[in-house]
Amino acid sequence: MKKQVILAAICLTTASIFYTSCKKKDTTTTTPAATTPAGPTLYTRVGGTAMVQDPKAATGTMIETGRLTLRSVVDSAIYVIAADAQINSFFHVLLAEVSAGNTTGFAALSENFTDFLCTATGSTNANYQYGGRSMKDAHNPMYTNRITSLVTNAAFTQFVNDIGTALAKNGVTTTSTASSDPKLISDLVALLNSTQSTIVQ
Amino acid sequence: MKKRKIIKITLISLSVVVLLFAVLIVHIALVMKPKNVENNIQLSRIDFKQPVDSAEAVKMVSFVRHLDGVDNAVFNPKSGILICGFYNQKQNAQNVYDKLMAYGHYKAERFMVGAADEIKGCPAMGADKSFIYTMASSLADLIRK
Repeated sequence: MKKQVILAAICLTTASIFYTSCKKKDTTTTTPAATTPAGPTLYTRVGGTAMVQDPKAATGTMIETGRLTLRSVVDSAIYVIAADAQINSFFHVLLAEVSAGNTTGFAALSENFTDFLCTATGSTNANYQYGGRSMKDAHNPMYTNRITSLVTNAAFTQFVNDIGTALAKNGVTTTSTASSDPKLISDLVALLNSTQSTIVQ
Repeated sequence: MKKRKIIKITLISLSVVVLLFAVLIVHIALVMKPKNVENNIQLSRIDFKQPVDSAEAVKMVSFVRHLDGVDNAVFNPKSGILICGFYNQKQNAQNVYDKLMAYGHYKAERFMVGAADEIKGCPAMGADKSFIYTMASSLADLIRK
C-alpha cells in the first residue's frame, strides 16, 4: 500500500513537470477581435486558408495565403521599422548577430508578430496561434526586461505608420483595394489601433 | 532487505521518468510548429553620414539586394539608415558593408549593437522563458533537425 502511494506520488509529480514544459510561461494572452459583426474575417479577406507554395521554403512546403500575406507585410515592416530613427531604439536587438544555427532576432520577431496578426485577424490554424505575452505585459518594463521604457502615443502612431508603409510595399494601398475590398486597409489599421490603449500605458 | 527495497523503488522511478520523457518527445514531435523558414535572416544597419538623393538611393539598394545571400534592403532617406537582411550562412554584415563602400565610396558607418542594447527589444521576440520551456524548445529544435 505504502509502495503504491509512493509510486503514484512520483508519477504525478513527474507528469506535472513534463506537462508544464509544453506550456509557455505567460500571463493571459488576449488578442483584439478579428471579425466584423457580419461577414468574412480579416484573415479571410487577406487570403484565408487557401494553401500556396511558401516562396521562402523548399518546394512542397505550403502555407496559407492569409499567413503568407501577413508575414510578407510583417517582414517588410521590420525593415521599415529598423530604418526608422523615431522608433528603432525599441528594436536594437534585431541587429544583434547570432551564431549559425540560432534563430535570429528578425526571425523571432517575424514569427511572433505574424502569429499575433494571424490570431487577431481570425485564423483558426492551431500552428499559427499567438502564445506570447498579452500586449499589456509585453509592453510593460515591470513584466519584461526586454523593454526599458513605456511606449508613447507618438511611438505607437509612428509604428502604425510604418505598418502602412509596409502594406504599400506589398501592393496593398487604398487604390489597389478600392474595387475589391475598399475597407480592408481601414479595418486593418483599426485592428492595430484597438491595441493602443493597452500598449500605451 | 531495506537496501533492496530502495534500489527497487529507485529503478521503478527511473523507468517511469524515462517513459514519461519518451512521451514528452513524442508529444513535442506531434504538436510542434514547422521550423520558421526565416530562422537565419540576420539584419545589419549602415548609417550614412552624407545626404543621399533618391536616384543614388535606388542604385545603392539595388546593388545591395543583388549581393549573394541578401534577402532584402531598405533605405530611409529621412534618417539616412540602410537596413540589409541576409542569410547568415551565406553572407555577413562586414562583407556587405565593405562591398557597398567599394561600390559607392560613401561616408557611412556600420551600426554596432552595444551590450546594453542587446537586451532591449520588442517583447514579441520571446524572452523570459522558463527553464522547462527552454528545455522543451531545445528538444523540438533537435527533433526538427
